[in-house]
Amino acid sequence: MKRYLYLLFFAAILTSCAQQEEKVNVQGLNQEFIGAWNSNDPDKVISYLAEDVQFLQGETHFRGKSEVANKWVKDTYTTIGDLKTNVVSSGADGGIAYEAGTFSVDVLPSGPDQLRGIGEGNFILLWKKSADGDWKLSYAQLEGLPVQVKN
Amino acid sequence: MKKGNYIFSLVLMGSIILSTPGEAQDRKISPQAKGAVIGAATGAAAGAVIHKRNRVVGGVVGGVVGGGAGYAIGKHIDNKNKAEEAEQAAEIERIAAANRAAEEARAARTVASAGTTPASRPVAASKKAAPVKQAPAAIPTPAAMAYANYSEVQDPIMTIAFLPNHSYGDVSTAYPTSEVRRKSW
Repeated sequence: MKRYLYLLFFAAILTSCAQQEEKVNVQGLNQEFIGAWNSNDPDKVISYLAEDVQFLQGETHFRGKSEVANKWVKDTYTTIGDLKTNVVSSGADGGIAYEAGTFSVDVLPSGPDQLRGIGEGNFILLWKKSADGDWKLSYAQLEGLPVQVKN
Repeated sequence: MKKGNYIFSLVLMGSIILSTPGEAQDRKISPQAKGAVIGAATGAAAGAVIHKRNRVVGGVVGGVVGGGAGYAIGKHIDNKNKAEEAEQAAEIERIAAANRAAEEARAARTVASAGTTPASRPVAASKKAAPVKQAPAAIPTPAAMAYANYSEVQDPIMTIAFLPNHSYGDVSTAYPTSEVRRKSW
């Protein structure tokens, strides 16, 4: 009887080991990231950035956490709301994960007599697992289409 | 008692197979095969346990019945997966069709507006052509047309649908050459 117990014990151990190596849930990761944008929480957004993060959009290329935080996150989060993404392609393995597709966002009026707009564009967010096991945003590329006036 | 060991080793094998779903998916094992293997293993174990007098016969019968049942379940899962995939493909096709229709409508609008503006062109052309009677009429027409096209792009009614780019010409911004605002997120 003892032997069976050992067998079951090892079966349970093997099962739990295999499940620990599960791939990262990149969908959840991006949902948290987009959620941080939508809750107007720049510090939380910045906490997802890797130290060597790169951000590309049009003719701009920002390198490093502080530059990306100052020139992208802090300059942008006050001007937008209701960010939504439509994922076209995604993938993940042990050390890297990405999601890419299109986004749409409300562009808030910059002044009292300014118009509200709807911005659309394409995105890719690439995540890498850092040495301490956390997933950090390593590369972001955005392509914006002309912002339409919202009626 | 020895057969009991076989039964539990089968359970162990089954649990190892079940515990690596990621690898199984990578190797593209069909749901039918997976269902049949799991069903056969479980059925054999159950059959051997139930048929106490002849565990081998019990195991074989249980394995066959379990394998069949597992295959049926796997087939059902496979059918369900395929139906979902087909539904997704249809959805994508619908969206693409809607986008195409919108694109065509936009193109038709552009053509229509381009067709209406040249109405003023013959007037301009004839005004220019009237004083210089010996000049060939064909020369002013392309110039007038080019001007008509240019004014159409600059038409405030056409551009009002987009927000203006307040940092136009500022090379530190993402889209300095665009007169309409492109940076949102």
